[in-house]
Amino acid sequence: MAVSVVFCIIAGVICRLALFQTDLPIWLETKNEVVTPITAWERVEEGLALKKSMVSPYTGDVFHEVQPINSLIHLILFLKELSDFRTFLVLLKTIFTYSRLKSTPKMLHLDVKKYSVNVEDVLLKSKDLRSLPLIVVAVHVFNPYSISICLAKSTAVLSNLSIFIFIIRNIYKLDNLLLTTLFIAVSTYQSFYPFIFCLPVASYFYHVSFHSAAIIKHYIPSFGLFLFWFMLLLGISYSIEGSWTFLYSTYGFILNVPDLSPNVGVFWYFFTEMFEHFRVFFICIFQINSVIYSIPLAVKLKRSPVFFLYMMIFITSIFKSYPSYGDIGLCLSLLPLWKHTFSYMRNLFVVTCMYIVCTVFAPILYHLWIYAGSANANFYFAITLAFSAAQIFLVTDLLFAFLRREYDLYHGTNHKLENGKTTQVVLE
Amino acid sequence: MGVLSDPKQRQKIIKAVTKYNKLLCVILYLGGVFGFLALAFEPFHAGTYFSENALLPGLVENEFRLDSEARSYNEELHKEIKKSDKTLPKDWMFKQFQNLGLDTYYHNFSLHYPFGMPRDKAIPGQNIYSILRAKRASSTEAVVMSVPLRHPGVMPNEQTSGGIAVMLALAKHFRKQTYWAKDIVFVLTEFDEIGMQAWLDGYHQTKSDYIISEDLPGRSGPIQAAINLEIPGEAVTSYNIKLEGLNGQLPNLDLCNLVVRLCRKERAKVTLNKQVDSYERESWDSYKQSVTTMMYMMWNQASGTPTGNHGLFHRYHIEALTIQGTQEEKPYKTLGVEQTSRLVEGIFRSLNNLLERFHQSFFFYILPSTRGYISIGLYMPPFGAMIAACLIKISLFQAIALWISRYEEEEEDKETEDKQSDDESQKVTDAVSGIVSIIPVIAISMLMASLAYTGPKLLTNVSHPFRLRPEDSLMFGLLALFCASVAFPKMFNKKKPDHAVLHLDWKLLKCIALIVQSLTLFSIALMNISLAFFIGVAMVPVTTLIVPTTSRSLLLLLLVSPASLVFISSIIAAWLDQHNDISQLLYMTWGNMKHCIFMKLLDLYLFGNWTYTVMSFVIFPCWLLFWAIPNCNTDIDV
Repeated sequence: MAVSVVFCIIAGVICRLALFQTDLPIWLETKNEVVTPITAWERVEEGLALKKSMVSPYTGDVFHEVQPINSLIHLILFLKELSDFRTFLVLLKTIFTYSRLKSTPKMLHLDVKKYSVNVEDVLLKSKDLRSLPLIVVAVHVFNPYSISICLAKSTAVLSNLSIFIFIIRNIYKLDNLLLTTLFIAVSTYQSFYPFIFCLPVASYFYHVSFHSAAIIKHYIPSFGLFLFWFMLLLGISYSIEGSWTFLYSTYGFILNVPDLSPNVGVFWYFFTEMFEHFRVFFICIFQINSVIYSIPLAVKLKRSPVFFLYMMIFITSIFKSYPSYGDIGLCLSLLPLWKHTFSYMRNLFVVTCMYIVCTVFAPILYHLWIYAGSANANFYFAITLAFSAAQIFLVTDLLFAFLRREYDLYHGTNHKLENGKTTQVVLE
Repeated sequence: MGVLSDPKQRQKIIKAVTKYNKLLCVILYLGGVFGFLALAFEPFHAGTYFSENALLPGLVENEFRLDSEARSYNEELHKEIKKSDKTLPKDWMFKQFQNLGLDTYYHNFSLHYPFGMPRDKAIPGQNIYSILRAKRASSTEAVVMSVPLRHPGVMPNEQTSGGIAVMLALAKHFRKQTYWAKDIVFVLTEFDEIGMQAWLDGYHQTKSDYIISEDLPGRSGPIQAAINLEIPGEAVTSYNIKLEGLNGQLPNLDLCNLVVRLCRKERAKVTLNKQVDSYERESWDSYKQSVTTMMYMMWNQASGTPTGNHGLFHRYHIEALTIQGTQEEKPYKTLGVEQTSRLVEGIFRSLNNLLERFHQSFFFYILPSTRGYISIGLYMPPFGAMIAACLIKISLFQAIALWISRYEEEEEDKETEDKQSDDESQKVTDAVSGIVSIIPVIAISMLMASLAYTGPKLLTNVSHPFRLRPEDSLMFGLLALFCASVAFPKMFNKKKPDHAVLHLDWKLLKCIALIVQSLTLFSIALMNISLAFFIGVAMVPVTTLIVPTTSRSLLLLLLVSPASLVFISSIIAAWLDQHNDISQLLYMTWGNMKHCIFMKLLDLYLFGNWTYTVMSFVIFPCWLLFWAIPNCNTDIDV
């Protein structure tokens, strides 16, 4: 097992290094599906150049990353192409931990006594879990989305890394709320949206404490600690930068969406068509939309906080203001964690086809729109819309599958009416 | 989510699709092909109209009265050609433009021939261009009139001296007018497309590996439109419009309409690809004529090679077309320089009216006649129906296995008695091993595709020491590669002597191959509908119907392989050149095929034509995936 995982990682490294020798990275760096105004390597270089000439990197409208990223990149500049490989290692550790955790029977089936008979088919077995690290690593290593962001040298690699570190912290150090919230704060500091992960974390600590206290008692410390760390990080930024203007260039840029260059999300087209008058209102609506689903999910998925966390990662990556293939790569790499629910998924084939079609068509339609001049923005928007639809299909399908499996666990896999006929469970 | 989440409704659809699968495939394919062809019938498509009102073609009053000047320019040009011993009198042309008081420049470029020639041996070339500065604006926009300079030795109907005379006379007329709001650039290019490409590279400061272009000494603003003239002599009998550009790109339909309208105003006969419109509207003969016109246009578009100098402008977002004068044996009416000049004057004055770039009307269309057009909204549904035949086939294989949850599948098992579903349920159990078994096939097709794509450069380097002509070395090299890839299933067999053939999950492979094929065809259709249509017509029926281990499938697949597609298209090209005798036809075909591959590669290197890339890098691996299917053994599988 370990050998094949190492082999997988080496294959991934070779694959990436080989592709770096071709013309592909140059092409990918200009693809707006791969890099966004926040994560583009070109802009980071620009920021570095500004800093070198003793100008604040936030002057002008080019650089939108937080300051320490800048310094960090400065340090690892010579290793920039390898930052994705670090993600592998962290990912690997995450998955190992996760599977170890899951295979402890206590955690795996906490409520096993309540389960119905005849559910052996759908129970998780430790055999499946042992192969999980290999599958996740293989998916991450050969995922074209992950490869593309690595080749484009997008800084999304770093924010993915911090989210992975956060997940591993969350799961591994079971009782350490302090560190977990610190890592949420670090991810939030980079890309803002992860602040919502406080909810699953609180739900998680509620879960591991065997529901000893009311759930609200877990929310308060998680949010409090998170805010403390976040303020601390902002304070550090302030001390480096010497003014608060960076707030507008980073979080203002994420929240206010001033850059409407096309990407795979839903914001750009809507706000190019928008009257300036209604802009603030709809910005609020769109931004609330990206986090509002946490509330119903928090209620529904109280018992499975890790799944809740995954749902939130997925949903924010669809509805965030500047999504890119980096976020999708992250979600798809973690998707095999829910392998045991795949047999309940209904639209996997359709969704796969939609993903492939959108990924192929997007650059073609962009070419026809921008270079050939024969198509227009609507063609490209249709594809980004279809792409978002595919992601929403996938996420709802996964949620339904997860809930459906839960149902089967408690009610058995054979559903028969009194007259002996087989019934179907329909989710409505 | 309606159909997607309601299992009962979905089951009904699945049942219907499985039951009538073959019938549906056939109906969809035939419906698609015939629906596409039926669009040429006049009541089925819309008539052309002006979308851009700013062109105002009807309002232009012609003022050109210098037809005697044009004639004398033509005579002088012929005298100069005779004097300079059958070379092009470039200096004379340069002087004529200078005498008119225009900014006139030479533009030098050199061509590094991509095949075999030593790199330092460059072929020099020279363009002449001249800019008439607009009196009402500050050189922010420009329109281009271009004429290719052709060697006086070429066939009389390929000469362009008439165009040069018209251009000079118009330049003389235009410079006296006060209404110009856009600069007019007169361009004379050497070596047809190569000179044009060099000039455009110089104008837009882009770089090419093989055409080394000097920086332009004088320039104007962004070019809005370009008209290329190929007028052989003083008198012509009709005007032929050529639209098809590089990679099947077309100019805005408004520009084409404008030219047609102004030709009508001159009462001149106007043709598309030398096909005359019929007079009747709803008869069988007129339909035949429309289909012919449409097929000619699609044939030219599918090749991806520009039909004239105009084709290179499209890549720079400039609308352009060529007006070619044709000379018939027994003319019904001859059109002199005065008509030609008035036509071009009208076009330029309309273009001068433009307030913004061409953005209205259509960019994706097919013309069955000069008065009607088939837009993308009309031709996409029949095309989609044709491709849907593949998708229906996929759904047969894949729907039960992957899409539907296993509970529904169990019910399927009870209900359908044929062994189809047994296969499927077996496949679900070893789905992973199924994917693993086809990975080698996919890897080999990718490898062969990259060899076919990168091979030509290697081949031409090798051919030089062997004293082979580049055409021959390319042809034989690619044929060898093709034979090697045809034999690749045999390589698998050798490896496992105990089993006759490598175990392959052929249904999964076919599904993947069909998905890849539909995806490819749709992507091509977005850029070049004609190419996608022709490839689809040939490949879709064969690839949907193939099954393992029948020699019929093998034969049919070979018939639609990329090599035979090139061969068939060469036969058609030879046949279109009026070589009706069988032996001569076959002889011509061989030559055509060599020439065709060679020219496509040359176009790829010089202009960035995608046809070779598409065939070698996309269609070829896709075909190889299918090729593995009839070669695999089903004994183990079932």
